Amino acid sequence: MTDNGDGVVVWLPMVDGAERLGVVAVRTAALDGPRMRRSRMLADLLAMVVTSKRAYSDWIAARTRTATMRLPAEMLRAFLPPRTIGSKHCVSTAVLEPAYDVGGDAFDHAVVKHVLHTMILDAMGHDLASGLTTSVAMAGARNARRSGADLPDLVGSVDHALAQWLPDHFCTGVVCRLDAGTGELHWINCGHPPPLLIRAERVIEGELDSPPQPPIGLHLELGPAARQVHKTALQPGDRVLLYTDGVVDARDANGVEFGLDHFTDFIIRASAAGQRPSEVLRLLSHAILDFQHNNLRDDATILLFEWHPQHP
Amino acid sequence: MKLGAEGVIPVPDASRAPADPGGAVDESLLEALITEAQIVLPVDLSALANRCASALGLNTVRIYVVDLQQVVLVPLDESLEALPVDASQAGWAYRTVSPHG
Repeated sequence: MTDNGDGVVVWLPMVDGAERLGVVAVRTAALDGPRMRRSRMLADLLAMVVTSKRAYSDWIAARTRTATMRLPAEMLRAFLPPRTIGSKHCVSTAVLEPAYDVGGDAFDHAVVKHVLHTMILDAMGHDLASGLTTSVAMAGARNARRSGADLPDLVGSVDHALAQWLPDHFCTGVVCRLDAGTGELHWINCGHPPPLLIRAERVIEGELDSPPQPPIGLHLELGPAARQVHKTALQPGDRVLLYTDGVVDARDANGVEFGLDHFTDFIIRASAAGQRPSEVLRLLSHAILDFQHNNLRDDATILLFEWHPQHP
Repeated sequence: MKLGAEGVIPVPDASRAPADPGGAVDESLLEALITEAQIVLPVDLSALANRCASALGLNTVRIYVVDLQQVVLVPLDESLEALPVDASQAGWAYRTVSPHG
């Protein structure tokens, strides 16, 4: 609280659901209960107004950029959902770097009734064609999801779309479906690093490993008839990590890799320190950039989702 | 400053009712502001936000949006400075999603 004679300033978070938009600074004569309540109301109202304006405002988009965005990143980012989404039972949050120069990585998450859908994608290469591959995959997956497709049909429809329209391109990825009521997790891994399960501040080794399946777009040439779906039962408080290899392959000036252990340790430690998932990933993405002196060789994407059912 | 019985600062002038945060909000003013919020250009949002603050008995409000990499909080009012997420009261409110004040 700052009091410089003409009142006090209170900083309030401005959030849209689980997504942090920014903050507001309210200056008021004094910070009593009614004024605090009205300050919160104002922050909530402004969050809704900013949310409704920012989707199509070039001015707000430009205000929130600190560097020039390259074309593949502009295209891919148009497909991205908010960084953080959630319900009472689950939260999903993600970060993607290099923010202004991403080539072929993307993530998606959505809550549909009691189901949390999450997805991570990594197209080979780092150019407009990789961005196109990922964009088609994102659109294809959403199109299938919104038509009520189950996981194998969802991945199958993206396999077909890529094989038909971008036959020389493919991407790896993981698609997950979490029943937030029961904790039942289904996933298909298409040639991607396996998801990681963090339970009670430990990584449960190999828990979400599965036999390899072809990347998305190559399945029709290489694969068996149907995509294999895997399943496991999450426990309350479990966290699942989806990531692309750019995260663990990041190297410092001496060629030392950031590494999987460093990656999971960072998440476990920051979470144990009481940071919320979106803040954990914010800190982690900055740590990875610092490690590589702001010069990532490959796209690095992390998506973290957490199941925390309400007790009856 | 002395607080009234309910922790509210007494406002002597009844014609300035919006300045009394415990009193009724001017409904027609709020209605006008909400209608205006629908059509306001983002660049004019700061001024509208201040009028909303005033209608709620608050002095002023400033809006900051986080940049793409969540490093700085950028004011919508272009005359203000951006604030670091890692080292400011504003950043603390952002990082913890809690009010600071």
